[in-house]
Amino acid sequence: MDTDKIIETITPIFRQVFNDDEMDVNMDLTSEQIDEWSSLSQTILLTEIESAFGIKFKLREVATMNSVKTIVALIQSKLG
Amino acid sequence: MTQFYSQILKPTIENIAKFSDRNAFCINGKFHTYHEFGQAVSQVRFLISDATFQNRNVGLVINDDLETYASIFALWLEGCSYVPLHPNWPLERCLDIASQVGMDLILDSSEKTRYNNNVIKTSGQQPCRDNLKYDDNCPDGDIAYILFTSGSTGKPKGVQLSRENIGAFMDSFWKTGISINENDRCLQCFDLTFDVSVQSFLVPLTKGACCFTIPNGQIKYIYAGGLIEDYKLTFGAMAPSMARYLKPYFDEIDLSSLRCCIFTAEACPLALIEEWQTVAPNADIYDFYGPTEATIYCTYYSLSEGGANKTLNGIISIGKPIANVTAIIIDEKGDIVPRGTKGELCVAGAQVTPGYLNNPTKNAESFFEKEYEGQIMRFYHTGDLCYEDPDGDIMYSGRLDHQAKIQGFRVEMGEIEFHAREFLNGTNTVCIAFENAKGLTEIAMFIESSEFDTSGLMAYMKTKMPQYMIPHHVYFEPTFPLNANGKIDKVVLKSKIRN
Repeated sequence: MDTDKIIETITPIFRQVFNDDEMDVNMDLTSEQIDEWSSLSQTILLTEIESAFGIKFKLREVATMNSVKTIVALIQSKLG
Repeated sequence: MTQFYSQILKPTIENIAKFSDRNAFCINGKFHTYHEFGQAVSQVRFLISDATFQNRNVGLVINDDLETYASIFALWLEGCSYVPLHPNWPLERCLDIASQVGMDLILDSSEKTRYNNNVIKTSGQQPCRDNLKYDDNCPDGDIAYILFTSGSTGKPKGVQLSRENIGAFMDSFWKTGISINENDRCLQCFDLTFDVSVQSFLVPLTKGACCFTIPNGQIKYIYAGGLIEDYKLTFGAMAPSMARYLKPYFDEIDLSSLRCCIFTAEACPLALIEEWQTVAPNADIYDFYGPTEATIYCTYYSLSEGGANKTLNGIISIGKPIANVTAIIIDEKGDIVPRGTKGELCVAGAQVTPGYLNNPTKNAESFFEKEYEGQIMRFYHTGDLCYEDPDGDIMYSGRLDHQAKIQGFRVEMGEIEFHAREFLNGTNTVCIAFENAKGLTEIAMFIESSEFDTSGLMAYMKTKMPQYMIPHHVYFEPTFPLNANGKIDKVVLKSKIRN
């Protein structure tokens, strides 16, 4: 799946989890730019992404998922 | 010799010499030997002894680094106590704590401190001579640490723990039969603002073992899972919530190195722990219970694998009191109830705090004297509803304030949660009683799941409980919020109730 399509799918998830209807979800966005990014919000985010794409992340992968770039790359690797 | 010295300072100082080349800490992936730890303690101790300050209760900014742990021991060697100030808490809250304590000295290892007055920077120090001598001349009643917990009035309240309290705790802990030696690798996954952290660093340091910490800002359960697996940790205390967060990854993680695992800090569901046993098959598992006011743990229960473990509403028994704790269960009049009858658990003994800091009203409410077994003892009201089974094991039934009267009936939220979990195959649920706009008590049930049709659940619960116990409202949360101590944050959940 191409990057734009993945971003299109994860944008509403990010906006809902971080309660920001206008959040610009792009490849440069990292956890450090989002004050509300916490262990809880990351867990919710990943659960929603797993469900949207029908994939499951491994614990080691979850540990690296602190930016849109890493999330997109992992989704692509899962989808093949 | 005081227990604080014999149980804590003496063995730790001896280990600094005896195990100087072995690792005392692994912090953010970097190992520090006992020699380096001893050096850091000495450096900070010199800084403290050169400082001018009156109040022996000293603020400590709790970064995740060697200097912060060294500062705790340096303060203890100097006869002072530490008062943790979390770097991620709002400054206003930390300043309120500083003001309540009347702090006039703060130790801070940060590059740039948030505090203005009398701050000692503990990082970046030069090597120095050893400064670890201790004469054990500090009174046992002196304070060792003060932890601030949220108060119902909205103002944090300080629980003072004395040297006697913590010395007695360590004595009790080892009398449970848990054994650690210099070859163990121990997890420290609690914020230093939470008292289980004290057990988590004292257990390894007093035995010459290595303490593995979790950096601030890391996602605790992920980091802890990685530490256990990568470094083959052998011992750890954690909240059941950590196991619950790790559960989706049980099929891919190997926790077989764990030989002893303590669950604590919140009610411990047997079904979850039985699953944990499948990924940590070599671990002896314990459920430890205790309020901060009685120094970390008061009672414990040792689980048997494959055997019958005692539960109430699916929650594991909290077992029997540890060595230096006396436990009684009382009714509303303060009389001890017959065995098998529910009442409030109250605890006495050398681990009970001298009291809340500058808070006579709260102290008068929370502590009482009562004759028990021929002696006048000072008891602490835990606020926990319990009963003793025929073997003397204490069964935990929930918080007293987690009990509500609905239409005149006494209802325990734990019982409703139990039936819901049974129907939902272990899905986490929390019930909260609240007063509606008409002043009537209603029950809201939170389910940790995406939304689904609850008609089957409701029908099932109606077969198990009277109508007045059936929740009036159901809310779904993809993941339950946790507070800083890793417990389910019921305050946040309650705020979501639409009244």
